[in-house]
Amino acid sequence: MKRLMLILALIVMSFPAGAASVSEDPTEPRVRDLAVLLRCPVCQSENILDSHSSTAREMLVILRERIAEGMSDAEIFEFFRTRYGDYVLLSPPMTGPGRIVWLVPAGLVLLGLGVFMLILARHKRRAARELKDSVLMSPLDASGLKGMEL
Amino acid sequence: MMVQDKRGMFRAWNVFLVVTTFLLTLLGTFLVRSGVLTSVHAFAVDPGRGAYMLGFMTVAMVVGYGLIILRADRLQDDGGISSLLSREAAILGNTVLLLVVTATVMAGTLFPLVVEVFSDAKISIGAPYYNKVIVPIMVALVFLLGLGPSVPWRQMSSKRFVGRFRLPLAFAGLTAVAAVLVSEAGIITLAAIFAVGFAGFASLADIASAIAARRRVMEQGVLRATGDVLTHSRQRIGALIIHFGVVMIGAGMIASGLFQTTQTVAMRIGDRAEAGGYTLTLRELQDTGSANYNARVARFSISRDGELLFEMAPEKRFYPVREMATTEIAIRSSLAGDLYMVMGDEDGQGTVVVRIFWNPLVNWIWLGWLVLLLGALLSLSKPSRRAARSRTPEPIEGVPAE
Amino acid sequence: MTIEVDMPRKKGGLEWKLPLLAALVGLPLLLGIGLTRDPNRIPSALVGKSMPAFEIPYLQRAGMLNSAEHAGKPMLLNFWASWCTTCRVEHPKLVELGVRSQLSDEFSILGINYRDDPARAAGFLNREGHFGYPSGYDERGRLGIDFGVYGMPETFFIDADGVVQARHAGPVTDKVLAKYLPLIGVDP
Repeated sequence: MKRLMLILALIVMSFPAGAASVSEDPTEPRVRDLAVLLRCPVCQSENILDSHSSTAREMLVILRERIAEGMSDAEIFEFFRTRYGDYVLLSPPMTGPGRIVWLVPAGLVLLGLGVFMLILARHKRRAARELKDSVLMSPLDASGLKGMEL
Repeated sequence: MMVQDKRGMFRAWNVFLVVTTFLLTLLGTFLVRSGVLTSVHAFAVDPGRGAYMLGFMTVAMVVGYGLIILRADRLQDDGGISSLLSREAAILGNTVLLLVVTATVMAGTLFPLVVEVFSDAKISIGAPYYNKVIVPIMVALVFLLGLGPSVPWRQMSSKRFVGRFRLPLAFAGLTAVAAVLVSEAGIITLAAIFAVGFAGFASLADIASAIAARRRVMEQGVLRATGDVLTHSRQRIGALIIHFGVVMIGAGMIASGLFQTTQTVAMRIGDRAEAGGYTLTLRELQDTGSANYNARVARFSISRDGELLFEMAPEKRFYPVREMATTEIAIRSSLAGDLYMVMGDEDGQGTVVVRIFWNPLVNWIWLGWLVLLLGALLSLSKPSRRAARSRTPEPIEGVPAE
Repeated sequence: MTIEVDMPRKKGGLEWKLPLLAALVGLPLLLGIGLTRDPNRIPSALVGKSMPAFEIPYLQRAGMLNSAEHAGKPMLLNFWASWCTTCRVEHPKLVELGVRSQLSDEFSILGINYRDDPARAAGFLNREGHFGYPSGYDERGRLGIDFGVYGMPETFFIDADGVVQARHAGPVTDKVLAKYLPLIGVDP
């Protein structure tokens, strides 16, 4: 192990000056964030970042160029939308017929909440009714009441 | 089903859920085979076969749902939910939430079709949409997970409720605050961290208090008490272990989502990059290969605090016979996370583009599954009621009776 | 003592029965209609809009192919490549159209060689027959992306005002021409 370290140390020291600590281009995170929202038109449900197709690669290059030009996110989406239509956006746009898609889940949650509260209320009503009836019939055997649903 | 078993309730619900589950499997088969939708999961466009499957599914739907509609009056409940703070209500809430998730996924899947049929426009709904929309519901589910096993049947006073969950809530609050200080987590992620912290703490606390109660009552040592609790309250402890497994999976997903780092860097030999606390140094770029492929390898040594730890070597291969190029990733898994490297293009002058990923806690997802499985096995290994009765009576627990 | 009472059947429950019934009818209907459609077809976003102007190098001669030079007449723009096997199917039809364009001057027709190798493209033309009209060379597929191309071959039908009237994805056949040529004011 020590010898390995020595050899490696020697190798490292023999590297040309200028070996640097690299970090990523500051625009890259934005490239990634936008790329995962753009669909590769020639693939089956892949975004242009993950796809290996040449069209996706070219679109990624175009994306980087547009970012370098200073286009905003909205302008970039519009750029691709003009060419491929809404289909190229993996997250449906907030305008146009796709808008409803965003309201549907919220609606479903509200529906679920409503159903839940409705069932709860109904059970409580029935429990109260049963309690009232059982009080009226208290002299009867409790097990006998099991055969009755009033 | 547990509620139907114990209290004779939710019969109609259960029939509906069983029928719907079967119908959904038919729907899934139909969707990937018939070519109605494009998807990575669809592997055929076959309207002929699709028509047969649709026919079968329609028949099953008519019979299943039709019977429910016609015979609903025969599926009466014996009892009712008496209080919001009860296990029945929690289970109902759980069912409703899961149904909402199912409905949302189904709506997202079918919506492009609806739009296309009615307006000839073509929209696409992909992963970003589902992530945005399902995560909040899942967060609510995880939170419920922490509540459920500790809420008794029928009802619970609100005072007792607060007392039970004070500690887990406090713990959850602390983790969420810590997350805010340490990272730029958004609201949903903070809620997720809160829910995971809550459910994790609650599950473990329950197991701990069961062991502690047994120790106290039977005056046993910790090991003996743990063993006994595992043997005698299998269903309950198994459930808590399962829930904790789910919490681990949730934590793994959050960490590998929130704290993931990705970088795309251009490196020359000798350059260093940082990821996940490691320093990655490019040592050499080599041509290599085997009988059926040629490859270009980028060898990295990975170190931490100057100490060499291991090597990684992502490569790009070219298979001449098929004229196909592939990338072989290099991955290093540990409990803390996965270090993952992909080799990109070279410029011919000694610079290679590399994508480096650090996915923290991602292996907790797999571990969580293991824990879940163990909990399930424990829970299912419960001996029959008759056999249990002939043994020592049920131990007293410091938790609500089952 | 147990009392047996005739349980009144619980009627109603319409609030969930009706939606269930609706789903029972609606879903198979929707999916049935879906079966009749092609999931891989994408409608072109360019239809009804002006054709994007372009200037790209010629495939087989010096200089640049400029779209403005061909304005004022209906135009057919055909994307092709030597690696596209379906292109061989439509090739004779395209050559025929090229001849007609030369003789009658009713419309112009241009080819765009998409993401191809010029040597291979030349080999393709030598084998299958030359078009008789020029092709531009879209080396990286940029022009294809500007036109929203997602498969090979594709043909755009543009009218005399430069407005895209139709995009056909797939080989050009007599049926296709009969459908789209009238849209740009040409007799099929």
